[in-house]
Amino acid sequence: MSQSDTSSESEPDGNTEPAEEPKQGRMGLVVSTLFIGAVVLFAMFASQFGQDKIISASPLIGRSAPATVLPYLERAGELSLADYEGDIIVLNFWASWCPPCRLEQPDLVRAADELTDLGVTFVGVLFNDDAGAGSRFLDTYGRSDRAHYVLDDKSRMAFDFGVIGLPETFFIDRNGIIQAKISGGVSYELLTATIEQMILGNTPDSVKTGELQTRD
Amino acid sequence: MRELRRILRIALPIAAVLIMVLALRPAATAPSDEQRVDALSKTLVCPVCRGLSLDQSPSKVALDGIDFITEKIAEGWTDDDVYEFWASSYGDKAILDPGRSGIALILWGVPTAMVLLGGYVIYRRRRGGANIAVDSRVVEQRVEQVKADIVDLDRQIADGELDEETAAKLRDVYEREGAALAEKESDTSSPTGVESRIKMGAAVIGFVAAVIGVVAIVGLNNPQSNATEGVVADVLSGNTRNLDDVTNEEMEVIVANNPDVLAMRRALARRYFDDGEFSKALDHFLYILEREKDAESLATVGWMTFLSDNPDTAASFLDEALKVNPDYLTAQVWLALVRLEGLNDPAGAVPLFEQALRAPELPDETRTVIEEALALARERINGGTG
Repeated sequence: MSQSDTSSESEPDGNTEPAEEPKQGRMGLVVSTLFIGAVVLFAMFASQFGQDKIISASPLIGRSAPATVLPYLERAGELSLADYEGDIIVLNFWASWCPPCRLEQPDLVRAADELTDLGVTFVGVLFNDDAGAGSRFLDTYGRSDRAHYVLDDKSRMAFDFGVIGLPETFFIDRNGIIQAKISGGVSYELLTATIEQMILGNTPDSVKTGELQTRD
Repeated sequence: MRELRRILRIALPIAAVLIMVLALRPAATAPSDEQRVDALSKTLVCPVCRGLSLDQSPSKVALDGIDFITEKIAEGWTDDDVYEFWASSYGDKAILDPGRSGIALILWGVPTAMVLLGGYVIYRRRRGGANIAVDSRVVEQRVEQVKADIVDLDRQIADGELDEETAAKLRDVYEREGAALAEKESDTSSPTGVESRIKMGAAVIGFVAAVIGVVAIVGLNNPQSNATEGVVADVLSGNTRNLDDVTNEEMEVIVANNPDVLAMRRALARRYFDDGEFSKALDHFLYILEREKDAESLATVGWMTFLSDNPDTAASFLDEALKVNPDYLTAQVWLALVRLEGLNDPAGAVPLFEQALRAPELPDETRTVIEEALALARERINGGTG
């Protein structure tokens, strides 16, 4: 319309009010600030898309394993994870009502039988279940004489390890650091490959092999 | 209108900061333990029941969770301790209340940082503007002074108060100063000074926002670093028990990484022994024997000691091995051979050879060797005195 509407950039003719120039810059500043803020917030939220609400790599990966103590499932006494420092610990959370737990049990038994000599300790944690049902499960699907079975009656070890469903298997290195988690059932091959990486001093991948089970 | 804008410019950032400070303020009154447990169980997500808080879920695990909170509160944990524990186990998303840690801290921090930075930029700009105005006035005064000096010089020349040479020098000085001041005047009156400050402010905000963004994204994704795939890992792609394809050097790496996994070290020592690299084998077997007296290590060290012409020590190692495992066929044969060849004791060797021959599933080749050795021992007994 009028000349002053279109000539803000090229008019140092002395009649233009000096305040007009910074006004442009101020608007640019506001716009750029809002834009950058929007980009940052978008990036933050976008990075969360595609992730399950709670299921993700455990926040405990890379941290020291909690020093939880639990009673044995089928004998007197208690197991403390701290007693097995120096070993690789395979900590498997299971329950009798969990179908994938039934499938993985023979593989866990085989791995425990074969790998304990390599300085690997297998601990089966019965979670959200009662001791009788747990023992019957072991009668049916197998138990390893070389593995330890404990009862997490008050869910304390599950809280310590952030368990959100079954089965979940944690791998703790010889320094007591949680290195990996397998969400879902494990196979003998996956167990040995994961343990192998730890024996080699590498960090194994945390993987999800199937849907986690929860009890209604 | 301009005044109003000026007030808003100062008031808005302050108001925004105040709102955030108020939002972050702690609760005014201290609740009882029971109220705290109640509040916490409403804000902690039940880990095995999607989307429900602990108090909403009837599951055993949710009740265990409430018991856990009650116990920890009784032990003296603060609410933040409980939140921190839950978040460390399950992540920030397991807390329904917007927390003040991890990602939540970033969400609180970004707007706060932006408001503070915006306020700072405005402040700098205003202050910069004032400085420019002051500078500009000083320059103008100097220019006026220079002009007055030149006029005065002209007057002095006209009045004959100065000779031409002196007047020319002075004029030169004044004109140079005038030119320099004119240049400075154009700098301070130009809007580019203000623009550069604004651009600097935007750059600062952009930089800080970018840093926050990068930290947020990196922190949120927290990518698991891929396992370092060394040559050993490549070779060991199948079965942990199958170590046949691994070289001795690779095994040394594995053993060094797992110094106390004696089974692995024993496998390596056995390889060195089989390859005739006795000094390397001995190092590993002795390492094992310092920690564990197993029959294989005792027997192999004994046999290597015999091969080093030390039959007495060899016999004692092999005796030890057979105490640990009396059925250890290799130790039986080795000890028999040490007695026969090293200690000149064929009578002591015979019962060991005989015991070895009674071993079930003895390979034919081994049986033949042992029978020949037994025959030799008997022959020496019979002709021993001759």
